[in-house]
Amino acid sequence: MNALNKILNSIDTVLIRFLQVLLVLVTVVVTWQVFSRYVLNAPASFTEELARFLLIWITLLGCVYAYRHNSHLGLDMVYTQASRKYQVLMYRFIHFCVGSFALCVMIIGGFLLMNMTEQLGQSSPVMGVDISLIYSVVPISGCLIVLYAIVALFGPVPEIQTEQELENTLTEDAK
Amino acid sequence: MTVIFLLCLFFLLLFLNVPISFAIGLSTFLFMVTAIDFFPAAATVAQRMTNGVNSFALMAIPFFILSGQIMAQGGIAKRLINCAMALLGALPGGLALVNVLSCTLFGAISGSAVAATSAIGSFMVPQMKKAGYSPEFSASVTAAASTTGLLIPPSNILIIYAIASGGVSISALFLAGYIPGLLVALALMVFCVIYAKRKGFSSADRLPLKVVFTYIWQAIPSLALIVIVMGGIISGIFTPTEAGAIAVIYALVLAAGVYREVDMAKFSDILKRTVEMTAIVLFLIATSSALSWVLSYENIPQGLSDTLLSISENPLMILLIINLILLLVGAFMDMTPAVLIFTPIFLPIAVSLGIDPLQFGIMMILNLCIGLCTPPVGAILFVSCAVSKTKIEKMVKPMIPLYISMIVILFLVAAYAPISTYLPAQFAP
Repeated sequence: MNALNKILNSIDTVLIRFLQVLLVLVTVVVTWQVFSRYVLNAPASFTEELARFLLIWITLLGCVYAYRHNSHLGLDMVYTQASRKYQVLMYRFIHFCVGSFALCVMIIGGFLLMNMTEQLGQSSPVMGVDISLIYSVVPISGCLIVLYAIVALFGPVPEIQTEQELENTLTEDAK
Repeated sequence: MTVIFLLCLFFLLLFLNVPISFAIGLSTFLFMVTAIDFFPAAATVAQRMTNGVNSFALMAIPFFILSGQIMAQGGIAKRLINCAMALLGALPGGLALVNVLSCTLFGAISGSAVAATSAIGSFMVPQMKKAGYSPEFSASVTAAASTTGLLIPPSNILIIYAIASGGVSISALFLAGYIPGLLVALALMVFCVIYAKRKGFSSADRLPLKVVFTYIWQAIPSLALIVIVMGGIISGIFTPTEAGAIAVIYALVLAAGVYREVDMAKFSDILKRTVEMTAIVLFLIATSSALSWVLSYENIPQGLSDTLLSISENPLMILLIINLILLLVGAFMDMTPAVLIFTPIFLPIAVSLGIDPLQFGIMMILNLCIGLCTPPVGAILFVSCAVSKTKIEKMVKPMIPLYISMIVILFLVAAYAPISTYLPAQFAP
């Protein structure tokens, strides 16, 4: 279990570093778009396309990160009221749902999507990048979600945060 | 009939605490499997999801989240509170008014109602408690006032509506949000003054004139962000997305260079949070656009529109019904999926009755803002409860007059179009 946790944590660290770089990159790209138009008088054409592709990557890989940190929005009023026994059941069910969605839609659907675009030979109009390469992020993030879901399915079920802890994180947020 | 299956499945997953985005995605996918085969369904949902976020306009969302986070961590909250204190502190019910104004200003700059609640609330509620206000009252005022930031631009939820509506200009929508947002803030302030007078709360001490000017002066660089962003958009110098990138650069220069409150470690932390918040919102957009594609594929908007129009042809009556449905939806659902799912359903009805899409959008957002402050699902209500160290049950009573103030403005926005359409008609690029 310990070795597994170490691997998961290092995946997490690599993932968030990569995402931070993407976010800075996309800010630079769009700023460059304004700069090149007004200062250089030669509007860059690749920026809009690149920004859109980066956004797809940030969304899907960020989704993995948010899932790992349990920060996706949910309706927890039933969950918090349930007894420990039902909480364990619900916890496993939730991760089963997320995992099967990632398997069916993101991995299988994502691969089919990549195949389809590859057969059509689609490439992006300005930069000429293979669209299937852009879509490859769908199965990649799908695999990571399935990995985390399996860990959650067989791992220990965490106790829910008490109100006191919630308060503490919120006051920390405010600072 | 099978659509009922889709809805039941979605609500079942939702109540079992499956994350909303995955609940939407999974029920959409299972519904598609019953309609077409497994493999085409999987590929279609994956494709609709990626298409849903493949948009340059959506790029503005991470930018405004990032600039808001930088501002929030960069010590802007206390400067805005000081500025509000200098302007309104001496009026009756001064602290409550300062709270409303700070939440409005902070919400407008950061574009996040939850951030406004926790940043302003955690500072203002203890102050108000010291002056004798009950924590429940303070928490309620903070919650209601924070929603105004969603109407006053730049605002991410307005961008999401513009995209869901398929053709409303973001710039025009931004302009449309000003008057309604400020009206809500004004209505809340009027209520606070009445409340304070009746309960006999005095004003805060009048500050020396020199301090007043210093406080206002110190807030100007932060408030200038609004001028740069909106000025640039209205004059057509840059698109809303580009304005977002400029806002990030400006906020970074201000917070790291001028105020010196953001260093490398803090910046890395801010980036982390922004990635997380962005992914949550955009993944919701991805799965919701798959759902809304399926709904229109099944002709649901058309069917609902026929049903509604068979009840009444009177625009006000239809708007009333739509508003009641949205109030109910808002109580149970977060704002982003509600806007993405219900805009394609209700907007065509409204347009066929001759209602301006700008007016409809502002009405819908304002309506869902009320939902953000109502249990059982009210993000802002929970946050303001937590920062004020009070219980949800105790907040119901002090919230009632605030709900009424917001509903009055909602009614005005629904009944009188120029409140939302006047500014865009005058100034939209």
